[in-house]
Amino acid sequence: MLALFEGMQTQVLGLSVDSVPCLKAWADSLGGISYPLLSDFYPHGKVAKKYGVLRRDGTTERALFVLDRQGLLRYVDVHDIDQQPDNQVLFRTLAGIDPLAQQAYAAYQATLQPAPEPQAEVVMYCTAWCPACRRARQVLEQYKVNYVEVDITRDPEAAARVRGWANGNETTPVFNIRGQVIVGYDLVKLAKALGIEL
Amino acid sequence: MALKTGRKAPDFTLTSHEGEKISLRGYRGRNVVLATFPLAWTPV
Repeated sequence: MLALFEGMQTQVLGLSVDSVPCLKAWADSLGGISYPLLSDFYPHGKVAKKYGVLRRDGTTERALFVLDRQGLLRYVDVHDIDQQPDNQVLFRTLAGIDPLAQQAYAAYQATLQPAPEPQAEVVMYCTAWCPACRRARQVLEQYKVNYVEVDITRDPEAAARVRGWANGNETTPVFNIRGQVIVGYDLVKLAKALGIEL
Repeated sequence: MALKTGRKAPDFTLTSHEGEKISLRGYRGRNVVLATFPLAWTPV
């Protein structure tokens, strides 16, 4: 994904109110993060405040800002704190504001191989990075559920299927359990559909 | 309230997790995605 941002002439920056050592330890624990995670630690949340995303509890909103080459804000989105940002929205936004990014995006899309809908009894539509998907994966493995994973960032048709189920959003994870669709990570619903006791 | 589109993004200089000083203005001429997140170590 980061390579695609690169191709789209785009620098990705993360930002939180954590200290530098904390961000470093976290990045290391995730196997390294190849874009800068910025520490808005002292004065606490100064930049977050400027951008209007400092929360009352001292943390930052889960927000996305897209800036064009001139530094103008072209897209701003504050997510629900539990919801994951969607890279596809970013790619489409960038393609819309920058002809070079548009070319890179078109070239990327041409390389994608749409896969048919898997015939497995339990299918999880997810992304590689989404934390809720990671938690769902842990539960499925813990209860030894046989399932198939579909990465919607690599399969436009699967992404379209998810949008159809999730009011046009690329929410992850989405489960299709023997035809029963569950949007989002809801442990109770999931357990019920799988017939497992928590 | 988060900043609205159409205006200039406020400049800043912050230190990255690798200890590098990063200024927003240093990326002029490239697009930038700035993603804020609540805290490190939080899964959701």
